Amino acid sequence: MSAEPPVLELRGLEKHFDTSTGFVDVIRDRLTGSDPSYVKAVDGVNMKLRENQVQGVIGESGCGKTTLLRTLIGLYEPTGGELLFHGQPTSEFTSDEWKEFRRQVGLVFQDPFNSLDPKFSVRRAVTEPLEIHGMDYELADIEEMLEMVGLTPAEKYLGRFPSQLSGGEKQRVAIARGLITEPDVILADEPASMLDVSTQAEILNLLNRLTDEFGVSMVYISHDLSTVSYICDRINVMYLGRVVENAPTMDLLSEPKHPYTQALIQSIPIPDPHYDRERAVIGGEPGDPINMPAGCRFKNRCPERMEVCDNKPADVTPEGMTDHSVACHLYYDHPLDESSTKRVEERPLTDGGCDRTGTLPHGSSVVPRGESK
Amino acid sequence: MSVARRVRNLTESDYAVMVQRTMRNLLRERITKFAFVCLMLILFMGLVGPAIAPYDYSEQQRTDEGELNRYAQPSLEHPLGTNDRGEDVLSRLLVGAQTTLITGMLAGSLMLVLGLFVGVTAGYVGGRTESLLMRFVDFIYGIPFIPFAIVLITFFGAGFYTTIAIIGLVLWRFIARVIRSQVLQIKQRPYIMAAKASGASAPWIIRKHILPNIANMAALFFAMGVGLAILEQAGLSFIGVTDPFTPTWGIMIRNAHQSGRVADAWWWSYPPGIMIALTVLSLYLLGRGYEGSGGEDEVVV
Amino acid sequence: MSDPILEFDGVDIEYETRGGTAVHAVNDASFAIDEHDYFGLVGESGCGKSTIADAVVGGLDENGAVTGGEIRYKGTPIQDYSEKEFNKNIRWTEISFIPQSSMNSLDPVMKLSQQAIEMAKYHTDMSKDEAVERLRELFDVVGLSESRIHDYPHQFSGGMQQRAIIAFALFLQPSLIIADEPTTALDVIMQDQILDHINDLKDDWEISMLMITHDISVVFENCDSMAVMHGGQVAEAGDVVELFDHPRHPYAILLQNAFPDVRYPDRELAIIDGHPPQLREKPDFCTFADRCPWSTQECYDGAPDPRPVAGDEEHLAWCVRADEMEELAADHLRKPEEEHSILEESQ
Repeated sequence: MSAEPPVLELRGLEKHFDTSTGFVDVIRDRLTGSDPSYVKAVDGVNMKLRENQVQGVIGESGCGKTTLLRTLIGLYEPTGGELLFHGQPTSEFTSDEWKEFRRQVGLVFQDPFNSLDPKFSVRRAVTEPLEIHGMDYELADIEEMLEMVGLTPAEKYLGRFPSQLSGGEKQRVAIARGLITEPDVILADEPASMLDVSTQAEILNLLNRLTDEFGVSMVYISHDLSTVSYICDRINVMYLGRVVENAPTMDLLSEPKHPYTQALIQSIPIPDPHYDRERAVIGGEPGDPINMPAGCRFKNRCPERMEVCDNKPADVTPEGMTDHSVACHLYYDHPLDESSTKRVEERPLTDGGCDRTGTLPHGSSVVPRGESK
Repeated sequence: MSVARRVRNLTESDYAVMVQRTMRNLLRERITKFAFVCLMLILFMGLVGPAIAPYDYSEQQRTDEGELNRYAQPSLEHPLGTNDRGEDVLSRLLVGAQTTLITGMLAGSLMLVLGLFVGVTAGYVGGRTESLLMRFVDFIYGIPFIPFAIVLITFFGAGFYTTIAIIGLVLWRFIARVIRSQVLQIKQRPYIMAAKASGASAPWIIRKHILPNIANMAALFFAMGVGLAILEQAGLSFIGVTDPFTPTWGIMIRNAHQSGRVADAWWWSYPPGIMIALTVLSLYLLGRGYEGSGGEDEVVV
Repeated sequence: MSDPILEFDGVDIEYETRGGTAVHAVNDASFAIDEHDYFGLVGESGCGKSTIADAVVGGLDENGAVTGGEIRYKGTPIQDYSEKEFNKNIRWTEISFIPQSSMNSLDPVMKLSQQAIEMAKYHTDMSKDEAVERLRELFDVVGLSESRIHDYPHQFSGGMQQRAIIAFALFLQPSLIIADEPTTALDVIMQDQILDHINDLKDDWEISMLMITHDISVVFENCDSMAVMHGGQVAEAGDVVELFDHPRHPYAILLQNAFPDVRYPDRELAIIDGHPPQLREKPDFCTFADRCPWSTQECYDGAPDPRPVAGDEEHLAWCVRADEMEELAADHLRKPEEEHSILEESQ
């Protein structure tokens, strides 16, 4: 373990949004004595990003990864916890330090349709960060960067506008823009929109190569586990605002511990008709982020739910593993009596969807109704 | 840098390209081309009108016998005849082009500036500022224009520039609303977030990202504002609350109406009305062309 | 061998654009869907797959038309049907269409039961109660709670709306369902559930399906036959297992390897250079030739004809070098059996 602080560190990072929208709600809350309801979009996330590391954050829609991204680039102020950059907490940043932070943290959207200002030529788009920070540059530097992201010949692209570029080309421009200030960290946000797979492959390979060549770290946010596995060294699985599992990619894929991670992995379609995939057993959808249940947020869909799951699970490292943390009651001893680990028979689902039983990959089976373990 | 180099820089700059593209898109349909040509002619008339007018607009023409040459039919000497005071209608029309267009453009500019300022601020800043500003706009919307104008004129007098100010200070309201909603949309776009993430300040973002992206719409609203101003001014002239001595087209219509000879002195009563209609129609047709060309040039697969 | 329920025979589809130029979206497309078969149509954006789906139910935009070939449904050519004929004979009763982002297809101001009643009234002589009853059954089939048939669409989540659409698609007991990217807008767990339901339909309902998607994994897992399209042309068509084991069109070969496979996260992804051509004229050449690492002059000498692969008439490749592909693309074809699937370790 090096003595250097991690490039980016999150300690219990929280971002809560107040859902009351103005006068009437505030007054009503006052009168009825109820607490204002919050959307706990990011609720206690821990992460350490080291130099040259690529970490993925994966989750379904509504898990909070977009909010996390925006908090990381400083668009939102955290409502709790700490964000540290090279060991320094951002809450103590002066505006100069914030500007420096913005220079060192590059953002790459991979949404090809809107990530470039349609009124900006490629040249202006790429040089904008340099202009904002008052950095000197030569046209040759810009051309070099364009060539490095695969837009050759660079002169041809300088004067083009986004409407004259293909989706892949626009992405490359976005990447060039993200790297032009030679940042320490890149934050990449993959969109939900459909991207041609051949373009995707190129861009993923490009990012892989560039992170090596430039020595930047990257946080890669996505809902697609296949692409995340391809490009990331380490994966964080998010669910309704919390990181439920965190491990190196290979470990996560081969030995997923959290039931949600297991379900995710099981749900991925495999491009092979010979492979008989076992289908995931969980049903329903992520719950309403406003009225989240106390305790483990996954309990309403979890096939392994126990009574103790009404309490918030701690982040633990399962026995026999290193460098792998899970937020799940299954993996640590509870000093309470037997009954707390009793299986919960009733499994209320959030959407009126169907109930299913099946076998989980690590061998244990879900208890059918009426029987006890 | 030499002038040639500067010019080349300008013509090759992003803005030039954008303007070229917009113009090309705009003028694709035949009817917009027609409207554009019409407008250019009218503008030209406004520019050189007073200079090429054959007579002074308030000069009362006399016949060879020394009589006032009133209600003269169109002839070679007076292609549009004369009015009830013997003034040459064509000259008045040409001078009126300038005054009417000045009214339109000044009032239109005032509308645009106010509308943009309120709209962009409300849209971008959001929060309480936005609420406050939009409530203010609602209030302005509640003002019935003509009665209010009459009241103001009673206080401030019926001057040429007073009319312009009144029109501009009330009718900017529709621009503010639409611009605000446009800005709200643009604010959400990823490239704005990317600019913020790069450390851009709010003025930078507004100047470089928001304004250029609403420029098309702003230009459209300017055109509409000019048209609206010309119409309102004609209306106000008609009811007699504007300066009667400046020969705007509106005043000409009013005078014709007042004289009671609208039907038979057609060479006097029709031309100003036709000119107003043509101007406003061309402006609106250009606006329609903008809509037809697809507005923003954002790519959709 | 069951008869094909839907056949495309040399179909050309064109769009007229503003300014008079035509876009030849689909060129000489031929494939057949057998009865009770699930057929997957794969390709990237702009390849023409959505156009094909639209054409089958007469849903092409006003400026689009089938300009050549035949589309046969149960043996009858339907490409020239009028709106009325489509409504009477085809839509919903014979062929149901589930469009992209179809959660937006539900009328937001009508209760779901109401929409079912409307549908029944228009196409059949079912009574109101019968219609509601059938909707109940269908909700059960797709895994929605029966008590919710009187809800409004906005009360459903995205995944539930999608399932409701499927229920409606089944309402009039069609023989063929066309699903255009049925799961793209959904999260992966929900996607899996929906596909599972769709698969169950095959066994319980004797229905055929044409699934349009850009995700080849979905096709490999859920379909029996498939076709790969590129630039308006069909590149390869045949049985799914055959196509997976022995692809012969360069695009099909490269496409398979361009998808990340979560079992082998370290495997290099295949790169396909360039992008499809604009199709402003009827392509008289293979539209993949510019991007193909193995193209020759012959590829530009006319649109390629279908060739049977390894003598199998059901498996066709539209490539002049199809026979040589096994050798030429050996690197890409090597199956990673020797590689250890990372997922198996957990079993």
